[in-house]
Amino acid sequence: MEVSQIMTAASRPIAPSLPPHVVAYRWTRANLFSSPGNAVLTFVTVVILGFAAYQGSSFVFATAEWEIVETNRGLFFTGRFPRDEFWRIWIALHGIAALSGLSWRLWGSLNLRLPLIFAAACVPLYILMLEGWPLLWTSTCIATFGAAYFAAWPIRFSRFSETARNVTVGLWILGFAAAMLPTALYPSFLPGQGGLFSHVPDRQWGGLFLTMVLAGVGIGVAFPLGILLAVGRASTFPVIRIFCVAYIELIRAVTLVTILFMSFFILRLAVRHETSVLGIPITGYEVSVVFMAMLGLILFSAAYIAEIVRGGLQAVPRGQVEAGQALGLGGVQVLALIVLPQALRAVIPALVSQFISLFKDTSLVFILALTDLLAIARIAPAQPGFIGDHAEALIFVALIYWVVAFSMSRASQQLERNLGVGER
Amino acid sequence: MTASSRPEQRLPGAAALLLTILSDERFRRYLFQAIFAAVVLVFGYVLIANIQAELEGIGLEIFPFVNTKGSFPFIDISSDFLGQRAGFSIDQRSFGFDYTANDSYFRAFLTGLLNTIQVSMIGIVIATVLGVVVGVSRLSSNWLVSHVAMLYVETFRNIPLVVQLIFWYVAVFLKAPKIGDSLDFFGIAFLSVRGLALPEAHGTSGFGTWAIFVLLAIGAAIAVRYWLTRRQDETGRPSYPWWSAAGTFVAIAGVSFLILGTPMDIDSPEVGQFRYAGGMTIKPEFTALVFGLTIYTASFIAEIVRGSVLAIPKGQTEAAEALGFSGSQRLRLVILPQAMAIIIPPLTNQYLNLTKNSSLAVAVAYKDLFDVGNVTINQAGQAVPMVALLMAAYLSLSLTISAIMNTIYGRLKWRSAR
Repeated sequence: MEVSQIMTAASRPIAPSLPPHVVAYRWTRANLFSSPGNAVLTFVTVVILGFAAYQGSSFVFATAEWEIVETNRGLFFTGRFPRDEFWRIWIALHGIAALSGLSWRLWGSLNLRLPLIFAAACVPLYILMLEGWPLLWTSTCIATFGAAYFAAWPIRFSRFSETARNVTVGLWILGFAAAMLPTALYPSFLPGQGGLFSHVPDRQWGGLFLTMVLAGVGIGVAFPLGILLAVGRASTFPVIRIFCVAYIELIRAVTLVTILFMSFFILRLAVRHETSVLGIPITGYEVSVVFMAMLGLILFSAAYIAEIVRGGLQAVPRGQVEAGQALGLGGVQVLALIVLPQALRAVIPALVSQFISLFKDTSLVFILALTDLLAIARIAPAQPGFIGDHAEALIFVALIYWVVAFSMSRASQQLERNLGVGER
Repeated sequence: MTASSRPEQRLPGAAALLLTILSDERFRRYLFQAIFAAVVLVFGYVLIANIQAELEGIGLEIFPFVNTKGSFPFIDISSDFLGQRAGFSIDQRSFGFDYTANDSYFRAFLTGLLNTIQVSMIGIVIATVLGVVVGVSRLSSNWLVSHVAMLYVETFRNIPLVVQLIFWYVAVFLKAPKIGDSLDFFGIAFLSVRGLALPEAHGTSGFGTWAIFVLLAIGAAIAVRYWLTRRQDETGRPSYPWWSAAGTFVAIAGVSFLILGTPMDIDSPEVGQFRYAGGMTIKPEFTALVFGLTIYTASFIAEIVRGSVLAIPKGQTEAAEALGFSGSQRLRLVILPQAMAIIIPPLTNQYLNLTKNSSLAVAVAYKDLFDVGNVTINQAGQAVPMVALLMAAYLSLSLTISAIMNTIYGRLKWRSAR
């Protein structure tokens, strides 16, 4: 493995019989000291890198006081979510783990690099975070993932694989809806107390949990909405086209924080008001801040996703549409069965980087005074005993964001390979 | 194709007519669009009516500065909250714009707008330079350099900008030593919690005369470049138009500078008891914002540069090599001019992103447009018109940048087509 990497890096065939130090010497010559200029560059980089590594490691291992993270881990992960209700989050996580395991086996190939990178990046989290109940829950989550993965093992190449994939997609949508429904309906339909479950007001949601809910709902809703907008923009109906173009361009020209403000200060007023249209009464809803933050993120991201999907639509050759029409398919069928699958496949990298942006953008909800992951890192150093430990809290939070974002980008590369983009 | 053409369908007159109309493709298109438009309009109407009703309930208007009864230009900011005394101070001001706490909210808004423009301009320039350096480093044949560049990109791209901004502000620039123990950069610049102190240049008596010489030098440099480029195009011999133009400029500006007896004063900062004496002091908020914005945006620009250079067919490099071009000539004369055409559209997007992201200044207490808007909302309680104003301001900023970049792109295409 190492020798082959070195050979490709040096792009020079080396007989495998050469002793390792000769291989190393040649590789160093070719890649670090190929010219005097390169040698100087290498030297300067080594000095700078060494200085940065020394400063960084002396902070991480000597100066930094990591107690702030250890003591506040509950805050970082769930904010002020009541401890007695944690089981809800864990059940949801188990569902996600099971479906992820299934999907991985049904669509992916056996590639352990991604989970290994992810696991390695999580090591500091494990060391700091896990003991007692969380450790148990995390272990069962991982076990569920593995069980689902291996349960799907025989199905992958059987004749049921297509059915299994459809069922899995259905389960994802169903699970998503089941998780979201209570939140969406709560303001008017669910009793505040004494229902089946006690109500956890979303002001108490926080930490990584809130970040993940915002990102998950944002991606789950903005993606279909973005596809609709893109299709609308490519439509032959001028009224719809103008509407979609206006929406996309307007949203893309303003900043996310202003849209969050608009959602919070303006749309909330409109939703709150009781009115009637053509004699039909419309109830007013006192909608929660988390909901308005979600709405802002969705409205914003949908415009960007629409632009990406539009690029994909333009990349599908006209002949594909004509072939579909020749087969007697209707307009919607041509779109859903022929054009969209190809269009979306062509823009996977851009789509995933938009999803990553959305995930990172959830950190902006602090302007609505929500306590997401970043907000916790801003609050924690104000506690007595941890005054001024900003760097530690921020580095910890940055690490979590980085692990998730980096894993997403790697996963997209693997998905791209598995779907054979660029091959035909 | 109409329903009546089928023999088995014999319907009474009116129903048949209706069916004929409904099965007409063109009619259905109109109907569908009419329904869509109606739904959008009703939705929009309900939205605005609801907001208006809610605002009336607390005695406010949607757009208090729109004068419905008056005459042209229908906008009257003096009578509503925008004309009132703001009462908060803004300690960062740009382009010499004057503002005190006694000025109006509207003037505070303008101050914020100018601050946004300033930080965006500086950010765009630095991010471009840094991004190109990192992007080219990622393509370096030096293993260490390309991997350090990769590490840079993967680290900063995957961490939210706000996290980085707050880190720079709270954990770096506010943790800088007290002014007495300022970090000393060769006696030229100093860094402390008070900010970054840099030397500042002041013009002295002969400065106006020298400015005329500088303008002359610029004119001469342009002329030299034009003339030498033409000669190069005609003869095919290299005549180094850019180097000669730079030389011309330096010669004229430098010689006149010396003849006029150095008409400029460098005012170096000195560490005082509570503040720096002399020079200019850049506040930690501004430094943190510029650091965060440029480092973050540069990681995206680096990927754009790398992708665009890689998109140039390998045959171009090989052809240039076959013609005997050196490494730097290859990059400068063959690869980069072609890569530029690919770079500009996504680069425009990054410039727009940087400008819009500067609104995150609210996290580091830099008084930009959004921060001033936020304070105004909290103080005056006029959220609806203020949010609308903010959106309008960012909209016009975005459109301006797009227009500038499109002009550059258009010129570039015209030149490469020549």
